Amino acid sequence: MIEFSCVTKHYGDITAVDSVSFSVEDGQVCVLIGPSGCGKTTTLKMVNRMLDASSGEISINGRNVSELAAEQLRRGIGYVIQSVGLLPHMNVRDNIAIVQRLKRVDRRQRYRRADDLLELIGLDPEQYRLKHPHELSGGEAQRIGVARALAADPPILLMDEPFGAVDPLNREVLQTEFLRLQRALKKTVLFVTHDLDEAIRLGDTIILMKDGQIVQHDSPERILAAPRNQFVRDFVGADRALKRLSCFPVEGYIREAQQIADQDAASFSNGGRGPDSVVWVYGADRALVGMLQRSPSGYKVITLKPEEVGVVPLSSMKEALSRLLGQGIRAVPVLDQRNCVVGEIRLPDIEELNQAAL
Amino acid sequence: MKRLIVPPLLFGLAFVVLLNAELLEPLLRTLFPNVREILYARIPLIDLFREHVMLVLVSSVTATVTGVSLGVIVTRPPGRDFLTVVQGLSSFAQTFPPVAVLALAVPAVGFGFRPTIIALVAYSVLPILNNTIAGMEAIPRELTEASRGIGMTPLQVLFLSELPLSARVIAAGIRTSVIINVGTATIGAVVGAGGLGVVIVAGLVRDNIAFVFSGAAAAAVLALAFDWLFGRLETLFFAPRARVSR
Repeated sequence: MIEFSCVTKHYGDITAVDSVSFSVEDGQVCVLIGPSGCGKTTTLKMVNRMLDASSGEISINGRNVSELAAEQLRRGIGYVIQSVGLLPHMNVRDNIAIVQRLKRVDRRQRYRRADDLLELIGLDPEQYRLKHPHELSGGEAQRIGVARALAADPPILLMDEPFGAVDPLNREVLQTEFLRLQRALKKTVLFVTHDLDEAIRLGDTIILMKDGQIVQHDSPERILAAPRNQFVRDFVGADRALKRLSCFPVEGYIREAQQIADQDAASFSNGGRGPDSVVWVYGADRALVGMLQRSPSGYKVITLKPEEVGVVPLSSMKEALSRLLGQGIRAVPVLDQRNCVVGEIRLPDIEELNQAAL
Repeated sequence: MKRLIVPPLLFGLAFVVLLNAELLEPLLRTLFPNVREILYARIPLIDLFREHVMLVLVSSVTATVTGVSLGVIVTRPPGRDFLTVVQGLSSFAQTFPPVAVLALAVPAVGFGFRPTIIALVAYSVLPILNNTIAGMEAIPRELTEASRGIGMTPLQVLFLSELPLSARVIAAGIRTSVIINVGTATIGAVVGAGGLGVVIVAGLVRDNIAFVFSGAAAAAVLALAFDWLFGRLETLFFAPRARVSR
């Protein structure tokens, strides 16, 4: 548990953080968000003492951070930053293992750990361990930054706009990845972002800051449904109904999907299903290849690219909606890692979810 | 592969000639037919060569240690105030002619090896210091931040991230200053430090161009050999990254 009580940080005459108090429960993701200069990054950096508080107390599991040597403290806290900060002269494995090297864990053990972590973040150790940072794409580098933060298995992670420098499509993938990891690892996470969708999607709670003060600390749903004042309302924006969809992973709304092998597609006849149902077509390895469309001469197969139309169980309902609208189809397929259809998300379910709240 | 075989062969050949200076006689005779005493006979060339190498090594190691340490100190937060002062001083030291430094050093430390080393160090510290500062300043702030953030102590930040990252630039500075030193060390002969300068000075005093030529040529070959060696070391240590980036 991370606890702030009346923490203030001055820079000369400027008060960057003004008597802030909050706590993050074990295993929870708390997102700090606000306009630039609101003090969110300063708040985060005081936890691992990259900055020292001017007054007030920050404690981790009941221990005041100022009592610990800064380096010792930092080795026990995972730290992920926007620029990643992988050391360019070390390969991926040495980069991941660096914290354990500082902790004097023996080489074989930390290399084994590095391989495990590469597996965990979905990169093949054989292929990646000896690469150097400049050979990585932005998304890969960012994942390895996360792996490095996890290497010493710290209970707490600090993430400072970790996906801010990644393009939007990859950011969504990384967020999904983060949700998957967090579900498995249950870290206590303090996360800074300026992207409200990201905050809504990843946060168990959101702290909205302005001028160094906390304006509202609430669950994503409450922030959207009950903004405390005009500032929050403006920050959330007029499209909060749409944003709210980011709170929900699609996994809770999956409907059974009708699918058929591509060689049987020609002989398909609509078995009494309603006109709203979509029939997905899969190829040799059961991976999605397209969908059936009715034409005057019967049915024909429209080819689809799985990565363009599909969502995964941890994608948000907002993503599902945007795929629906973007592709102009009546349902989006939910895919597993091998692109097999495990179900579908239908528009009426999204509408219903939306109405339930407002 | 050619670059790996041909230069060592040439340098080996030069070394054999150095050991047996009389091999040079036919060449020098054809070049300078009017000179009577063609070979410097008082001290074997190889001994002077050895003294010269010593002068260069001692001064370069001292300059490297001084330059890198100073560069590191003035790029730390407590030393940053001295950055401009130190840079100014070392530039000033390089504008001073080494001979003038010798003239000043001799009364203080006497004749021989030591004043020469002082002059050489003063003269060659600048490229190393400047490159160390440039290398350190070129490291992105986020990298040192990240290094601190994952729990490195200030010393670990220096040795695990800053120095390795600026090593290439620092090495280039050392290379430059060693080459400068090979040439400048010839002035050591004036104050009795020995080295290849002895032959050159003897040639100048006795108006013997063959002496001047053989001393200068030997120093030039030494400079080329050092340069080649540094080139090899650089590719050896820094190549892996260069290779993959291609």
